[in-house]
Amino acid sequence: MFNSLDDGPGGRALSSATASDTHSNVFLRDPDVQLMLRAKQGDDDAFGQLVAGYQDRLLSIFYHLLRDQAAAEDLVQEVFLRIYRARNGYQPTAKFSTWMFRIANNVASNARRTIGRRKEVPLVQDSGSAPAVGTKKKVISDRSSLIPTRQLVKRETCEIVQTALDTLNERQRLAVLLHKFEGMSYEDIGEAMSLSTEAVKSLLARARENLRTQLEPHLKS
Amino acid sequence: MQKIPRLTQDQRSNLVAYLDGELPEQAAKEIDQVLTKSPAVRHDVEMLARTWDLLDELPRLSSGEDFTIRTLAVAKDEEAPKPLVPQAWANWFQNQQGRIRRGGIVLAWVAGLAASAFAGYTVTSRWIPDPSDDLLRNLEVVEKLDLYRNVESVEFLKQLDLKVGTFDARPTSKP
Repeated sequence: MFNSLDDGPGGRALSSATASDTHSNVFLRDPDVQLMLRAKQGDDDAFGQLVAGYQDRLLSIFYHLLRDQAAAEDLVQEVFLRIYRARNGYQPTAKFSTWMFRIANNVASNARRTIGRRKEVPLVQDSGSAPAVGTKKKVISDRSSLIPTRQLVKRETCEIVQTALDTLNERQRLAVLLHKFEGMSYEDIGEAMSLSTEAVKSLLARARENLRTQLEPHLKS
Repeated sequence: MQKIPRLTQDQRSNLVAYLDGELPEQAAKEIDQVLTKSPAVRHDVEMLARTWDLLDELPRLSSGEDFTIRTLAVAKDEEAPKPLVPQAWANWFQNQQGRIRRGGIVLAWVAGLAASAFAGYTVTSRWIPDPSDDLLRNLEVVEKLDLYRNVESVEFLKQLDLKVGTFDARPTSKP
């Protein structure tokens, strides 16, 4: 099932059964792999723990890719539904998070294609569609005549950084988010995005050089 | 005067990987050496690091407490066996169950009566002869009955035949 979805770490064929066993043994130490194996046995509580553990992390990444919280929540749910559907054929041949982010990458790619076909909603929307929590905070702040300067600066900085992030292409942005938010190594990012480690290095180097160009003037000011 | 070392093209493209600790030890040492001697390179690296740190300002979102429950419910619902008829129809059938049962009983009675009537008709028509059947079978005779009454006897017909030749010249069969 993984292979057909191209979501599974099994998609990269290993040279022999021994190599596969070795990989499995290594990844069995991952507590999330253990939860996924329990989910495979029909333990829905274990699956619930995985959802609870990753839902906000995935949501933040999808939000910064789409800049639309409702759409991002839909994609998060789609990722977990795919995992649930694939649980019976699950084989631990990668860290759970790496496998999950690979599925997330596929889901994001599909969403990009769908949005591209519809041409209704720009992939990155303007700051008007900021997350609900942020909007609420803004309204509260604006109503107050005593806006702390630090809070104002923080909000402005946040907007500047988001704008800078939006200048990156989709792949650069995903690589940056996986590295920054998830602390993933180049190798794991490569596995999640179906890229070589060298390609990830190059992708991140260009992305961060772009970010530096965008953000450096604000650092000086 | 000591010359300030500069980064090679490869080293420049590796600066980010250097900051991320993703460079092999030897390559990282080479960049370290340049950094200690070149303020410009130190500035570049510092800017890369500081702009990277600015990404910490990006908001992290929360999906709400019930997201896990909703997701589990959707996942389970997807796998639940789907009814052959839509739920609305199933509900309608459930509500109308009493009426459907009564209607079924009435229909069964009507069908039983019709079957009985058909069977009765078939049996009676086969076992009890209809008087009109004889009439139909002898229709030709009945139609010419007045003529036959004038004939009176077979002997008369034989004599008539001999004299007038009323009938075809067929050999008379002897009894």
